[in-house]
Amino acid sequence: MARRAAWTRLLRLLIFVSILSYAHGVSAAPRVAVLYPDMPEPYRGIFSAIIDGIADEFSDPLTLIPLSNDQKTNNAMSQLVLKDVDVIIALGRRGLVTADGVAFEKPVVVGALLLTPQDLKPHMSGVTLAVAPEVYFSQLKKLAPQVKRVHVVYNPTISAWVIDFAKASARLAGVELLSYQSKNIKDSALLYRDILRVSKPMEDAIWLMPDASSVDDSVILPLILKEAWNRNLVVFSGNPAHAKRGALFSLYPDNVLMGKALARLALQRSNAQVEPDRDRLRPLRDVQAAINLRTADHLGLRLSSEQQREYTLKFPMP
Amino acid sequence: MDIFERLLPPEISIRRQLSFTVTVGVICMALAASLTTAWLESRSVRENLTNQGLKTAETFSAQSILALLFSSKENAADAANAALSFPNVIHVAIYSIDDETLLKEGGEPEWRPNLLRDEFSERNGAWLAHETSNTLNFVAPVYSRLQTEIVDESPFQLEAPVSERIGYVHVVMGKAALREAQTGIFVNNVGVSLFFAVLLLFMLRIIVNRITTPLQELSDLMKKTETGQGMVRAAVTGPDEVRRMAGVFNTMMASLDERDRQLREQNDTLEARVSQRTRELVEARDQAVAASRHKSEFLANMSHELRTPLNAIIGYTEMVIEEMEVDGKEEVISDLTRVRNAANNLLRMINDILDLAKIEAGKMELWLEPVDLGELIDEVVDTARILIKKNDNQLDVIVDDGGQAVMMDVSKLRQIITNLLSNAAKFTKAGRVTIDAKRNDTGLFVSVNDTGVGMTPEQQAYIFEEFRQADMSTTREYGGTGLGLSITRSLCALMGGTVTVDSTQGVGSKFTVKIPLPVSKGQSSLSTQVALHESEDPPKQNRLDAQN
Ligand SMILES: Nc1ncnc2c1ncn2[C@@H]1O[C@H](COP(=O)(O)OP(=O)(O)OP(=O)(O)O)[C@@H](O)[C@H]1O
Ligand SMILES: [Mg+2]
Repeated sequence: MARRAAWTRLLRLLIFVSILSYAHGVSAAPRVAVLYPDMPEPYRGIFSAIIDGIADEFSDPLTLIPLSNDQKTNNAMSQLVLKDVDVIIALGRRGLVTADGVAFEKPVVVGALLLTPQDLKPHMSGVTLAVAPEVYFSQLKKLAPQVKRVHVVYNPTISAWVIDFAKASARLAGVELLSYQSKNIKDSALLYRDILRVSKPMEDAIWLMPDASSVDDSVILPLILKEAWNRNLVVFSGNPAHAKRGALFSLYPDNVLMGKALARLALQRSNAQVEPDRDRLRPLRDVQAAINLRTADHLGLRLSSEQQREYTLKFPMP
Repeated sequence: MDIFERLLPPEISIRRQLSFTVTVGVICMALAASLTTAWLESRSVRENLTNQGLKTAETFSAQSILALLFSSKENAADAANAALSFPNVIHVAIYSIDDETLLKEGGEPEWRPNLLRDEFSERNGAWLAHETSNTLNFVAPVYSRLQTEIVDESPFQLEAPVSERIGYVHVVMGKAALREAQTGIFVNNVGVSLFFAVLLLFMLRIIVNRITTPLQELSDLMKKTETGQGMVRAAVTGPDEVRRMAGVFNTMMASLDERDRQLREQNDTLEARVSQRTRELVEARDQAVAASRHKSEFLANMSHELRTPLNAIIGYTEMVIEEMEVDGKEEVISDLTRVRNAANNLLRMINDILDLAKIEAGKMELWLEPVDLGELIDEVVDTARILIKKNDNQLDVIVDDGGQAVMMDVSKLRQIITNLLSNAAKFTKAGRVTIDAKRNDTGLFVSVNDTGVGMTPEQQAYIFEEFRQADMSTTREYGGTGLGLSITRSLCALMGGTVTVDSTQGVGSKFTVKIPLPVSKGQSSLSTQVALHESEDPPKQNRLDAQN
């Protein structure tokens, strides 16, 4: 209900804004267009939350461009609207593809997408959906300070840059990060088997990367979760569904905050602040957390009710 | 058609024909239906089996991911056993993507897929890869992640998660169940069909009996009528057509019986009438014969009794006449001559009656002797000459005897010719009389032609009867008794011949006598076989003389 109200409000806003933006002409504030995929629930709610976050950061109305699954129309329509725009915020895969497909030289900020640095053109920057490693580690330390080692299997082509961040963050957090490269699921499976064999209860933790070839929800995940339960290992990931199924905790985007972050980045870019190339793609820091209380209990972790309140999602649901 | 005719000749009974046709038809139908349903059923059974096999392969494929990922058959043992526990599954195997056998349960399979072939890499789901006579072989690729996970594209990832193919599973299903189903269905169907066939035949038998029994009864009945038993009626039962037939048969038999009865009745009355008539006729004939004999005997006796005194009268009268001639007493002579003539006439009449009586009594005998025809004619003409002259007639005689004598009863032939010639002379005035006699190998022909008064055809019809003359006035004018022609005809008949007349009134008459040669005794008017030798008759008085 709340989502729908938000959506109608958004529509009204869009019409109003469109008229205003044409009437206004050029102003000092950057004119922002948001390219977002027009998809049914549950995605609609997610994107409208992100857009709400973006809109909060701008006093001027946004130009919203909903994208269908017909990429040609998306490009053509966008091309018409974008000529009077200073910066684009492209959301989701369609957003990136459309921003990439139109002739637009001004800055583009990409969000709501799992990204690698290679995915971004020079005029683009963005926030990936992959959660920043230090956020994981701080969460881990908060919950299970006994953990000494964190094992992670990752696909080097997708996640190598995150692992670079992670290594530094791990040192800061005081844990040992053991990373294993794997390019296909079979290798991943064998790696996980070996990891599980050598892990020690409460000392080893397994970090499930969101890249596709490293973990598989139907086959490997149950195996990992089962072994982890048996061996009292901490498992964490970036997918709240994992927490629901037995991982200790998961971190996932706070959509409104993420929208605000994207808006800020867009402002910076439109002000022509040149940033170091390394910083063009940022891991996600605005997250919410989910926890599995049963797993926590099984691991012997006692959480105060104050601690528990920090988690947006708590499994099993009462 | 020929085969059909030979198999089922039209002569055999309706029951047989119907039974044969229905039996063959029902059996064919039963077999066809059984085969069809067995085929259809087995197709659906096979389809089910295939679906089951495909599903089993898919399930087994999903359960084999871990085993393939970790290259450990222990991981798949449960799944393999689960798959094997499905009905009809006799063998399962897991092959890695590089065609190595990871697991094999249920013995050595008949057939092993060659996974390196191209067509295998094109398949996404399970398929029926091979079929042997005993097995169905299903193969399904195994993917690193379940296919269902990647249906929805996520807007949060640039590339959809790839699903790697990590191996294949092989599920073998035995066809024993299929066979069993096929034969089971076939046997069941044939059984049911045959049951119905027997039922149908049984019903057919009843129905055919219903038709043929009345028909048989009817035909038996008809056979009975053939052997001549009357009053046969058919029972009007059975199907409509047969009932109608029986009805018609009954009507027919009724009318036949009626006609029989009428015929018998008529026959009876006819027989009675015929026998009565015959009796009457026999009686009448006997009476007639008796009467005739009595009459003839009477006449014969009487004429004999009459002739004796009459001869005496004539004899004495002639004697007296001769004496008177000597004395010259002319007036007495003329009176006496009249007496003699009258007596002569009377004698002649009596002779005629006697002749006729004799003929009628069958007492006339033929006396054949060689006769010279010319002499006989001359003799007769001589005696007739006076009569011919008296009426101023001219006489022509033509004789052709063929140069030889004829075997004849001369007195009877003479009498015939005399009679005809005397008539011709008597009924012709100042005319011409021609006698023409000739003979050849076949017979004797005598015709007497005159140019006299002639007769009407009616008269010609009865002049041969006794005492009949052409008209009543004849006796007055010409005299005579009307016996001449009657005797002539009787004599001709006696010699096997005929006499005919051809005459025109006022122009003349022609009488023709034909006597076939050699003469044989012909029919006398009343043929009684009495042989009488009454040769005591004196030579007949010449009737030509008597007429003067
Ligand atoms: N030649 C003839 N021409 C015409 N009429 C004839 C001739 N011959 C016979 N008839 C007719 O037939 C009748 C029968 O002849 P038939 O000789 O039997 O009798 P009849 O001459 O009258 O008597 P009878 O011969 O006994 O003296 C005759 O009375 C006569 O009328
Ligand atoms: Mg006469």
